[in-house]
Amino acid sequence: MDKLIKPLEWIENLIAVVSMATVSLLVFGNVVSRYGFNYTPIWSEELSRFLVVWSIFIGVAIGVRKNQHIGVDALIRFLPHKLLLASEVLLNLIGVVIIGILVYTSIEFIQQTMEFEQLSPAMRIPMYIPYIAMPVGLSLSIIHFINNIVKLFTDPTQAEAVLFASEHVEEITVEEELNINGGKQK
Amino acid sequence: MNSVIVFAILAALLATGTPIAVAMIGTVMLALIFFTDVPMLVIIQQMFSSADSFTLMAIPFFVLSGNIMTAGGISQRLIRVATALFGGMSGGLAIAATAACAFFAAISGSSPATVAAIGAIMIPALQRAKYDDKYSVGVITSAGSLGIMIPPSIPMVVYALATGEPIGKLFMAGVVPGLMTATVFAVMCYIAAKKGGFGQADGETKADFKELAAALKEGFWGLMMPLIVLGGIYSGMFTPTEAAAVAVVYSAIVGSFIYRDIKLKDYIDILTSSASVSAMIMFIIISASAFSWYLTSQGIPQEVAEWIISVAPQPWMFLVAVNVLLLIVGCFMEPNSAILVLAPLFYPIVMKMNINPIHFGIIMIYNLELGMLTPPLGLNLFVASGMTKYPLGRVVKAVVPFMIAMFILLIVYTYIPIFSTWLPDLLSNATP
Repeated sequence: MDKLIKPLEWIENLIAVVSMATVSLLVFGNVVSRYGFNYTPIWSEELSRFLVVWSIFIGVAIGVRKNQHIGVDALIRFLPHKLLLASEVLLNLIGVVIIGILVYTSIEFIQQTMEFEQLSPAMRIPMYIPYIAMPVGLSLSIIHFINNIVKLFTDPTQAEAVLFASEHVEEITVEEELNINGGKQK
Repeated sequence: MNSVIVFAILAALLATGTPIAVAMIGTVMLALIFFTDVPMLVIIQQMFSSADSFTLMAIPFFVLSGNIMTAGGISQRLIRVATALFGGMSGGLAIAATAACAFFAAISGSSPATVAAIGAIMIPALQRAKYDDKYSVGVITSAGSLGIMIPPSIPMVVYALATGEPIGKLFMAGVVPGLMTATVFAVMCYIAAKKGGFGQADGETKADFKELAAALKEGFWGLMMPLIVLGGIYSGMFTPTEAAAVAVVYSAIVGSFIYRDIKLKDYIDILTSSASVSAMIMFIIISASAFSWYLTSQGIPQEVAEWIISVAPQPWMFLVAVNVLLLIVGCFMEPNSAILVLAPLFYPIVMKMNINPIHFGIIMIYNLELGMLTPPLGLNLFVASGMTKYPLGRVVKAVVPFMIAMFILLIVYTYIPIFSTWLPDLLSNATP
């Protein structure tokens, strides 16, 4: 699995870095050229929007890889360790299914737009170029969801990170008990 | 009835701990299958068209400029200015921490980022100076809220997007409530220090004019950034998105050539982490807009509006209902998705009742900010707990007095609109 993930990681980071940096300079350059040269290139806004679309969908995959996406873990935190790990598997599976349907639908969507040979308004490039960011980024996310599950069983640090949250809860209860006892003694 | 089922599915998916964005997409999928004949393609169209937005682009830019400024050592410099200004007073270090959060909030548009940037330096400093939990961890976790009240602010961009209100006005509307909150926190620290006897004999933090001048000289470039961003938006020099891009380039120049703390290779890390943090926010936003599209297509906003007007016909009753609802929602939802789902529900009522929509935006954001200080989904708490290695319960306890203060302020801001409307009105009268 690692052999597959490492190169993906590299490509994802590359796309993210390049698109973020380019977009910032592009929009800044637009301001400069408007005031400096009284000229606003018509393609620049569109290009920057498309680059951001790419960086969002690739970024979603990076987020899944780093297990960063925000969820409400308030309830599952209180589960016993084994169930907590099981629920971690479950939520990654839910991710695989829902994002999987989304990938399928997005490919269908792109096929339709390709039939009509839709072009972008300003740059006159085929619209599947920005659209394809969706199936690419989301498919990468699916790979990382699956990898997250595999890592739960093969990589002890991953399981520890999941359990960390529940350890935290136990600490609270112990500490609160101490506080209550301390209060009584006074 | 259908709408109840939809929200029940969402709640069930969220309860499993599934990422919020995935849960919202899944809910729309199930709802489309059960209640409509609409093909699923529509989800893809909604997600793409909301991702493909020039306005929304301000969010990754503000995240990136905030990260560059943090890597460029701006937080230390802002803290130095704050300490030089307030360090000599009773409870001075805690007051300085509050002020540093306010300064940093003017650069960053996110609350957890503010807690992380200022807390990393100030919490250990406060603990060394023997401040107790409330006035070390508590004050910074709460003052991090200023991150989204003082402009730039990501939730304000989202509110503007959901309602069509101008971003510039919303930004300005947050200034007075934000600074007032900071002042109240500072007064609380001052009184507590006087009473509790901590934070007084700080000979070394005693401010003198020389130190203040040196600190201001160092912090100058960081303190200039909000002026450029807000001044640029207000004078019509650039759009909010362009202002955010200018902020990125400005912070890169300051970080690399003036402070010289960032090397070229550091940018790779800064850019990747900014891309994944902003994608995290944007993923929630584009999924929430697909969700919100579904609600609108089913006429749910109108249903809810009619129901609310029938139970709360007066504006003041409506605002009470909104406050209660948002405080509950804020505990379970992250602010950006809550705004995207709820603002379109409330907006027609707000217009009908002649409530100023800018003022209403501030009410929503302040409410949801309180949610970031309450479990189970209080992001500020998580950041503080992760940083200090304290269990969540200990952080929550430390935050309570400041939360009560914010709650009182919330009521003040809700019923006295002038705090949020005064500055934007003043400026829009001044500029043509």
